Amino acid sequence: MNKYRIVNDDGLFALKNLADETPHLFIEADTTALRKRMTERAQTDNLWGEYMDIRADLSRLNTLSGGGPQSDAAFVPPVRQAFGHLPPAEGLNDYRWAAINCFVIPKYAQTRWSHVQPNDEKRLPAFVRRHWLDGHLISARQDNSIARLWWLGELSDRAAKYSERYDADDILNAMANNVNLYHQLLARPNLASRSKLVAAVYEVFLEDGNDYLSATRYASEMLSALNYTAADISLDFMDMSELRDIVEEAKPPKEL
Amino acid sequence: MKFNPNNYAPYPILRPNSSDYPEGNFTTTFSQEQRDNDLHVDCAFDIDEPTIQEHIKAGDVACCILIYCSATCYTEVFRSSPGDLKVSAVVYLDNLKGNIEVHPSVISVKDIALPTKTAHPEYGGATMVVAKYKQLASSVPWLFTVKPPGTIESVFRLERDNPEQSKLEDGEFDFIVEPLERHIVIKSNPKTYDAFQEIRSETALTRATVYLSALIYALGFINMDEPDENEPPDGWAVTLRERKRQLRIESDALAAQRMLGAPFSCLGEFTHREASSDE
Repeated sequence: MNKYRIVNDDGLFALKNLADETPHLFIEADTTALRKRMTERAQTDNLWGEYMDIRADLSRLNTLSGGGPQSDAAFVPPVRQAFGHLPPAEGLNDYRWAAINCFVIPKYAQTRWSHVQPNDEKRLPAFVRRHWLDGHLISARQDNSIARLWWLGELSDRAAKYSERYDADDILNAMANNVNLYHQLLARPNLASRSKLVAAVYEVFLEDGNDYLSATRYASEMLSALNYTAADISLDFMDMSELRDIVEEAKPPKEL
Repeated sequence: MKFNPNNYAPYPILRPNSSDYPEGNFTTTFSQEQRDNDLHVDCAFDIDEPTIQEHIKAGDVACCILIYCSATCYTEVFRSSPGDLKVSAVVYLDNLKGNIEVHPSVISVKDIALPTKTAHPEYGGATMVVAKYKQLASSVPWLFTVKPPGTIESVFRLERDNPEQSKLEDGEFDFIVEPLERHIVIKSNPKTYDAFQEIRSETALTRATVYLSALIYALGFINMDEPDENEPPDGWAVTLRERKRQLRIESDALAAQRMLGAPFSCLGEFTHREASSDE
């Protein structure tokens, strides 16, 4: 069991201000300077909230240093093990994720998003906020460096419980390596929250090498059709076989 | 009634703002309670439509509630026992956060023959085949918010008081905070009360500001180290003290904002006035 402190409201507020003023402090992972500037900015030392009493093996997070986008699936297990007992209700706690991104594993965010780091200085504050600090709903699941790994693991674990053909690693890899489909799913929380349906979507996706469904256009078409179907029929009562049939029907034809 | 097969199911659905069943009615009675680590939900269905009633009795269709939480990406459906008009659900609170939606509906659990004698004449009184898992009735969803453990809830009460009009500057509100044993009363004068009503777009923010100020004020009343002998064990002071200890925050203002879950920095300044002795 490791204990660490999350930032409080004043701490997060100060960090967000610093992201606007000096985004390079985050990108360069200069945690000493960041702590100092954070305290100066807030003009108080009281920037830290409660200690987290969850099982967090911080040493596992060290393995995250040096990862890129292709490593998401490999980095999910260490994050899930580090925050093994974190309930979903805590998965949107931006105080926690900001503290981890900025001070616990400060280099990971920069490494992960270096390929999309804007050259335009004016766009850097938004870039830093999105990947270091924002932790609500879509931001947490899609953009926040560590939170998104935790949610990736959470949603793939939930789906894997229902999958009859693939294990948790298969579904995790399918989600992490085909982000266009995953992000389209996240944009439709009424579908993403139905784990059995998510399992069926990825079973169909993995069957027969349906790689074309990872293109945004096809993924969007399929999920829109599923959304339409869900308005008329209760998908929650269906078993996996019936759900797979529904997903197959929603699958758009592959254009040559 | 304009029947459009592209937009509606090809069979009648009992639902609000629909003329599918001109004489039919579907309402639900709902209650929810947070106990220990669980959310307990009970929903009783009152369906005033003989055709659907018969199918429920026969067990062909089931009363269901869908519990949905967008924050935790959680959906779960609970159904009644065959023939029953009541659905009970217990959900682990760790799976929920913030706004919760509960959607009551009636779903076919097998293919059924649905007579449409009581439906809109557009259906011609024919008997229609409805496939399983189709929705036969839906009611307006229930919405509520779950509070994280330790959050102060239903402590404050906004009361309309009758003191004389006071002179207030623009943007200034007058209220009295009165910490009682079991709850904290916030009294406002008519001018303040009316001001709340006028700021429609910022009502929630204003109310949060009042609550926050009241909470900060109330925190000053409690002895953080030793409970008062007269304190009831289930009173607000015990709750506040315990929550403040859990948060490990020394500042009353910060403790208050965490308890309310409201961003203090967004709330701005608020002027608190002590009640005069004759009020």
